[in-house]
Amino acid sequence: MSKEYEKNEGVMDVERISSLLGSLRSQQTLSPGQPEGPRSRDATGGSSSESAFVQVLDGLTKAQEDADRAIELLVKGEPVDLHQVMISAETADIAFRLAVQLRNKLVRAYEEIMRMQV
Amino acid sequence: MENLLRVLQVAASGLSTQRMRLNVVANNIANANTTRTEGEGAYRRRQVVVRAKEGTSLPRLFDVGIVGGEGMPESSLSGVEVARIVVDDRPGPRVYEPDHPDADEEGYVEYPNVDVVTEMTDMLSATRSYQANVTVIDAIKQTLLKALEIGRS
Repeated sequence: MSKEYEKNEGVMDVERISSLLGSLRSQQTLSPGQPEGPRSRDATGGSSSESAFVQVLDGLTKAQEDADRAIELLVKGEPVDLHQVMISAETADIAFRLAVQLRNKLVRAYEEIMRMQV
Repeated sequence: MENLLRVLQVAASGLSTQRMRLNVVANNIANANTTRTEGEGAYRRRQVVVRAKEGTSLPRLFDVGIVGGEGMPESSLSGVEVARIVVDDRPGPRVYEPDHPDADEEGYVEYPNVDVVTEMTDMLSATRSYQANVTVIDAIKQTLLKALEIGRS
């Protein structure tokens, strides 16, 4: 996941030039990572932060699906506003970044606990 | 989070509206010399009537969003929409052109009541408004990205 994130960051650097392309690519990069959501949900048994994270992942999946659908409609030539496509792509982008930040936080907390002397 | 995403939707409605205005201006300019229509007489210029959108429930990104503050109805921030497109019924200029196929018995042709200069200023206004809405979206995005940088180090 972290490797994907690095790749994704690289893509996002050029987003001002071709934001749509970047988001398209990030969508592709993300596709293999999407099973993360359900898997995490299966593992949900306990802490509230974990279930909150799962909800955020669900929201991320939804945002990405919206963006996918919008891009698909655009490519098909359906009458969809270009800016709506861009906004949904940006929303997915921001949602992804939020999820990554939360994941970083969780991992950092986990590592902190693992380093604890017993 | 939801507030900021709501503003995204508001700005998007502004973009849609301005795009519609541009479409109407384009139609007016394209028909600036049209003397024949489906109905009768010359083309009449179209105008967009814009109204503030009343509260609708917008999609939320996350169910675990930060709850908005009280005292200010969120539903009042719902953006803008095109109410309808109206036809400007003022008569157009009558020009004496007896050879024209659409000339009446006296040899006068009614031209559209489209003033290209007015349409151009409308177009500039719509373009600038569109850009303003895009700038708003950029600002929102920058805000969100800045917020995500909190604690990253």
